[in-house]
Amino acid sequence: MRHVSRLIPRLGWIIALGIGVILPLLVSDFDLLDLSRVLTLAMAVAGLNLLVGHSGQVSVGHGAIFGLGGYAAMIPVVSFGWPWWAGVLLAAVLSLAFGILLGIPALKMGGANLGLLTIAVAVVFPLLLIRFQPLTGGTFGMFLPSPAISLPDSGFTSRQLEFWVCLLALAVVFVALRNLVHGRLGRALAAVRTSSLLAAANGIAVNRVKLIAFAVSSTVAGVAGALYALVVSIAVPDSYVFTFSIALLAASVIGGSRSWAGAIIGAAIIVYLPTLAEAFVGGQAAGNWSQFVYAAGLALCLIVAPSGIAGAVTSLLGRAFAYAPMRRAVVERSTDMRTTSTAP
Amino acid sequence: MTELLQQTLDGLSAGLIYGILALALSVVFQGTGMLNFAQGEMATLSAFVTLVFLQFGMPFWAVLPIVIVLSALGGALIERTVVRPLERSGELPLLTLGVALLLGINAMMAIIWGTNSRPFPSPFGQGVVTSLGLRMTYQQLGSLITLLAVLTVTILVFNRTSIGLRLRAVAQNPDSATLLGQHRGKWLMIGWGIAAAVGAFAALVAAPVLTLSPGMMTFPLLLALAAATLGGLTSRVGAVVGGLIVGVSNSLAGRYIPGLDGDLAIVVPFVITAIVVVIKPAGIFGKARTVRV
Repeated sequence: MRHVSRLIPRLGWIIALGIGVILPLLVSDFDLLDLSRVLTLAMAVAGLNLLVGHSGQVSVGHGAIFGLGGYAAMIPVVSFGWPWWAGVLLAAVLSLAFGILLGIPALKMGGANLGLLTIAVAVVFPLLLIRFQPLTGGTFGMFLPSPAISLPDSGFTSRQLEFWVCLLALAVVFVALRNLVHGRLGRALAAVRTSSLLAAANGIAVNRVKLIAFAVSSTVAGVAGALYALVVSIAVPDSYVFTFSIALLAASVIGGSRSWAGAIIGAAIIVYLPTLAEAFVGGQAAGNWSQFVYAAGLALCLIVAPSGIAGAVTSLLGRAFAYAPMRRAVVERSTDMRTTSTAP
Repeated sequence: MTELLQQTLDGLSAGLIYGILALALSVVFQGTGMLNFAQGEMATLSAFVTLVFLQFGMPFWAVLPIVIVLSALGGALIERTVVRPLERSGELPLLTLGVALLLGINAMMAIIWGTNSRPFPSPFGQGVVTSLGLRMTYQQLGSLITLLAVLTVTILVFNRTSIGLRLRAVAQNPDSATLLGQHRGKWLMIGWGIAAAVGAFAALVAAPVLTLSPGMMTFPLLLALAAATLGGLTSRVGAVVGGLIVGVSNSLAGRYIPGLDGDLAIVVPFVITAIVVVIKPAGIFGKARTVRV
């Protein structure tokens, strides 16, 4: 019985991946652009989930790190003719370094200071972009004249290739994060989240574990930002303003900050909510209305469904199929303990 | 020398705005344990409501008490409706709620009044006072006096009245206070009301200078957060002193450090805050929290 209940989500992921692989052959290039945006944003939100849902820290500045990744990829690709993957690699390295640089003082300060510091970063980042105009292109940003990800002789369009690249990246990120959370570090994070005092008393280096979580989360956000910028072919300071950072945080909480599927739900909300709002109110007010809906959704989720949409759906499904999620969690943990050495 | 003094003076008058906003943050933080990121937007909303009354032709000084009372009621309403359900769920959900409130109130103002900046009349009139080579506009002088008055009243309320005593009791030891017959929720609600009213003053004196728009208080709030952290979130005096330090350092850095003119000067107060907090994590006037396991 237990094996069946554990197989269902795994089967779901395999089916989802299969659909993802054939999707570019069925959907128009126009829709593929939005879908690729969802995939990259889902990556950033998943990185944020590691931080918010699994280590109990909060970052209001992931939009800036996402932007840092975007510019780190765009500048060498546009200005120096690097191949796109080298740009993504540079973005990964820079955002990792940035995460460590930001995390060390923040953790030393303790308390809500990571939130405070990340908020400052989120606000200052667009200003810096405009200030360093020779490198970043100032207010007008960086623009890719032709798609970076392409295979001229393959018969596939750039949009299709981009989607596959993003899908592969997202799959790798999901598997990596899942393994991280289920492994030794994940258990340490869970202990820290529950009570950092007790974790410290049990020999966990609290600050080190928190720093690793922040650095990993930052790297993932940077890579996601790099792919996003390459897909939409443009990086401007206006895309990475403070409210975008908040939107990412909102997506993490609304989708479900302890669920990887929640990251996709959250990202889809970021991409499609403004379009949906435009259908109802139209024009300039659409942005404001979708911002209002984010806020209301965020507050509502915090109060009514603290585990987000994905969490709420999972527990509903759990009830429908009449296996108790609570019991399953206990069983899972005890098997984890026993089989850590033999687990694949 | 005169220029340095002038910059310091400008910094102090801006710093008082950050200080008052930080005071509001500290009142909420001490009671609810929540860093209220929405304090700035709540204050901006008060300024917008003031503008609506002014457009009906009412004189500013008649509108002021109405708006302050409305702000207090609004603050209390927010506590009662959205904060109370999350009161005991810990730091992270409360922080996120603050973000949600910031986003929601900002969007609401943008929907109702649009995102363009509007002129906001100065209640103190146009004019400049000059003394010893230093100059201050009537607006600056008026806000200085107003904010000092607000500060004095708030500190007197907290330290000299039974309301203040109860507020402090509930903030410091909710369980004992409840045993003594003080309803925690009720006093937190009153604390939020006071914070909203205090914050409203900050927006009202800032609006004529910054011009009124939904995002008007984003930067002041950020500096107020730095100020409150710098001075110590648990200390009301610390919040104001922190605000003054932040204001002066911001003003001086913008003038004297090359490359940091304009918006970017904001980096300096944050660096100062970071240094202070690394040395003394609870801030200059804050008390370190001890935890019993």
